[in-house]
Amino acid sequence: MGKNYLSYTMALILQALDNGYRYGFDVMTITGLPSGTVYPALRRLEDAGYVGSKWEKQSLALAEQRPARKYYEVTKVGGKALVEARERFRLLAQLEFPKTLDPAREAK
Amino acid sequence: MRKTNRIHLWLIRLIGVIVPQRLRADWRQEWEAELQWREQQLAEWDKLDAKHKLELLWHSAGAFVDALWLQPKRWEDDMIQDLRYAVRMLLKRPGFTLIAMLTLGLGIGVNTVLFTVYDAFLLKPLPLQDPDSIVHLTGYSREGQRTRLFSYQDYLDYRDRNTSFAGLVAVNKFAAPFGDDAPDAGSSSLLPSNFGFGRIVSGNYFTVLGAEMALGRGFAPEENQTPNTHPVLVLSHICWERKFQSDPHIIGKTVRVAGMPFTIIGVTAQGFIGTEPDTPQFWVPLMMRDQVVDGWHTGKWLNDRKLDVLSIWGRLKPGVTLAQAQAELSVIAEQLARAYPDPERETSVGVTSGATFIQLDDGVKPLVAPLLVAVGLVLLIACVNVTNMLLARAAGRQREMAVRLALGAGRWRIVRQLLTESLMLAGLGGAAGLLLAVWGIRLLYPLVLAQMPLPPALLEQFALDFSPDYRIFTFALLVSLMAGVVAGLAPALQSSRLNLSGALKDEGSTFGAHLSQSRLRNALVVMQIAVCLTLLIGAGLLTRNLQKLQTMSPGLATKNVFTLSVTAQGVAQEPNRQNEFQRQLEARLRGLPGVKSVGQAHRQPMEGRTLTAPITIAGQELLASRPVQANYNFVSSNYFPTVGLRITRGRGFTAQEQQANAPVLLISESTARRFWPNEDPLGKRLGIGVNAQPATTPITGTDALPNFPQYEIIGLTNDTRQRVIWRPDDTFLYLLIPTAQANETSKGSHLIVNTEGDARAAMIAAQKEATTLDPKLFVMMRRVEDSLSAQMLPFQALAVLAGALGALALLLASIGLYGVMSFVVSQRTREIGIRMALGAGAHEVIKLFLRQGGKLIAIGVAISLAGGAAISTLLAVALIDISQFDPLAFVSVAAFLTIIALSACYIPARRATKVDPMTALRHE
Repeated sequence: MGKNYLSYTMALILQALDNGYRYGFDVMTITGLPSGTVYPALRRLEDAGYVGSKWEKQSLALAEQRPARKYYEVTKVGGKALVEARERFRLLAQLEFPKTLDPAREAK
Repeated sequence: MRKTNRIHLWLIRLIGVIVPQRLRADWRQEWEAELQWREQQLAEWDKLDAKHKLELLWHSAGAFVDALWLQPKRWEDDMIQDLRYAVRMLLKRPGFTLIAMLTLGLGIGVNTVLFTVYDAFLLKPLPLQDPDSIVHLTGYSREGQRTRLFSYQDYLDYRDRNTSFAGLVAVNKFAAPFGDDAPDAGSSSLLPSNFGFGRIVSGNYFTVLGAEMALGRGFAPEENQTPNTHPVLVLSHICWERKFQSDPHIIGKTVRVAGMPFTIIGVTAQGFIGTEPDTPQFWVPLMMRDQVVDGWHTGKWLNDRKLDVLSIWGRLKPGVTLAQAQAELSVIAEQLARAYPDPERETSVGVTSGATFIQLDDGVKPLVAPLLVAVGLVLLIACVNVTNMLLARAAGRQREMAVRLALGAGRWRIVRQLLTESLMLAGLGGAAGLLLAVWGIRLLYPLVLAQMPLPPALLEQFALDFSPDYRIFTFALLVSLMAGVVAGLAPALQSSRLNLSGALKDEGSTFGAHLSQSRLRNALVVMQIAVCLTLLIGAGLLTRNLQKLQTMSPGLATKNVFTLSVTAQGVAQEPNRQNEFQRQLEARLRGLPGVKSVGQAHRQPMEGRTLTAPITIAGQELLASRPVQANYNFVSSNYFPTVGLRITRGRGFTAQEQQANAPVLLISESTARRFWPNEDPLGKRLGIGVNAQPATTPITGTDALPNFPQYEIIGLTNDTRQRVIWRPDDTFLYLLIPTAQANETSKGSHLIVNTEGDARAAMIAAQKEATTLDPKLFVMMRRVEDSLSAQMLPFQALAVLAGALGALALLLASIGLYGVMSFVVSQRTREIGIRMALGAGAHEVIKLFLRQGGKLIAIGVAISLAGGAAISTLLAVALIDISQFDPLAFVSVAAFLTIIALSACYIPARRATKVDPMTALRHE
């Protein structure tokens, strides 16, 4: 198992990020994975260079009177790794994440 | 908007503590922001109910896993910086590092050696299956006296009535001629060289202990049912390897034990050692006892509940606790005590864990405590040495610290840095100490064994395992950590409390160190001297003690005297033959060149024990109601000149009295003083319950005066210490040895032979005579002086051990003192230059330093006198005939230390006077 091997969980998290869920808690909610799995996985993906992270604009956070959040996005290398992983995990390729987390809108 | 749930934030903050500092702020913000955002979202979705709140809390707990995952990133933390810096600092001054490491290594090493020995005896589990379920039984007499052994009938009752044990095994040790070799008469060990060491064991021994066999089998049940019918034995693995060269076809062969051929039926697997550190060479069935144990309670032990001949070990059933087993056995013991009332039997029984060789009980603690204190003190001295070295170095690094403080380093940061350095030193010291301990034990253990007066066959069976295990590593690690903190804390705290402007201008080295710093240093030197002297006082006391014992007269001759006894093995059924043999041998011995006289006695001198019997004296009521136990021996008429006992009044036995077995006796002077303080004892009468069984005639009141046979006192002898050298015999009676044929008491008696010159030549000749008389019989010979030196051995060992620890302490303390004085001298070089330029002579400068050092030494000595008093109280058990405040030991040791310490001051002081004033004045 090389460094570049993506486990199913990691691939799932990567795909969630790729589908636009950019925050740790959002990934957690959409994948149903516990926070104790998601965060370490994010750190590992970041270390491996599959994921980059940025702080959201300070002004945005200030306007809402809360601390700035850190968001993650899939890098180019991460994108390639995700393609490979999708070939391995066929179910993952078919998986479509909903566009929003809002339970109310989802119900419609 | 800011109504976030506080619990989440607190949790994050709490967990944040373990996140590496560099990442902490970011980490916290990410988690806090996420939690707040999610809460806000939940509120928007109208989902902020208890269930979701709980879920959120659960999610925030995931931060802990996240924090754990970040731990490896500590690598770039302050701690690592400190470590890197510490390594660089230690490498920069390899001499300093080496000396500090060795100093700590010695201290930690000595402690680790002690702990290794402690570990081998008290902590390492026995190499048996499930050692925790093994227990050992101890009996207690009515007075609470501990008895190691039980009678066979009691063993059977304990074994059959209990429900707590998977099995109880009975064991006892014995030594007997093993194989066909002739003994080497010239050896000074306490047992002949052809003796083997075995155990008699109950039939369930191997199954209960779970011994596996390398070859053959253990004992079958029928082999342990009828006495003297199954001469079979099982060899231990070591013995099979050493004595039988691992012969693979050994099963079925025979080997002689005590002259009788035994068939070898098994060899235990490697690693099985039984339950005691001295692994036996072989095991034989309990029922063969009378064939291998010479003439002692032959046959009677099977039924007599007063004959304690077996120790008992057991294995608890799964799930049964020690306390439950104890409770059950206590009930059985009580039943037995009621069924067989007898003041001489044990009345209660104790169950202790047998998982290790020794349990830490009240018998062991007084032995361990003084040693623990002593090695702890050596380590303390080593730590103080390193503290002083660090203080001296800190003085040289004041500027570095000042710069760091001035640039904004916190005090805690500096302390941490310096502590890291001292911990690293201690770690190195701990590694060195561990190596020293492992090598030291490997080197010393054979030397210690070689000092034991035992045959090599027994010594090579010793199964103590001194190899380092995780406990020893943990111990060394903990001790090193402690040493690192103890040695480094004071210098670290002091360095961080600098006067910045002074230090930056580098005034420290010019005008002497800070007062507080030198005060601390002085206090440390005083403490070192006090601790060292305390240890030396202990060593001095023990040495004086040994000296006293060595010059102590036992009251009878020990040089050129040996004892000889005929062992009846092989002819156990013919006691007449044995007596006849002894008579013939005695006649032959008298004719040997170099033999001055031959006497006979029941017990040999310096054997460690004597016979005792209750005595009564008509007219002395107190004695009549409660007979005193007196020491006695059966001796022949020529015993007194043979062992060099003087008859100070009256006369010895005559030949006629011996023939007639007359009721006369001699008593020691102390006996006379005790019972007839103001009267002439000659002609007085004494009742002795020699063959009476005091147990069968319980004494209840004065009118029930036991009717002991009466003896008349015909003479007085000088006082002796013939049992053990460290205790005078308060009473001693000499009775005529019965010459009547073949009665039980004359059996097992010893011939005492006094020779011209060394006894060894005569012993070899005696061996030859015995073999020509009857090659089937064995004789056991022992020089009385060998018995005496064996008694000295523990005291010698104590003195050597304490002396070695004291010497180590002295070495460390003088190095420390020397180091401090050198440092002080180097700090004051400029001052010395000024003094000398102004006309001070060399001896005035020396006097200056000697006075300074002398003051510290004097205070240290004064303090240590109190410490010495404390340590001598700990030693009181081992001190025999000297006061624990023996003035000679205290004064001589104090004087010795003062001289050594003053010379440690003198050398650097003298070097100071060699300073050229011009250079000194230019000295920065």
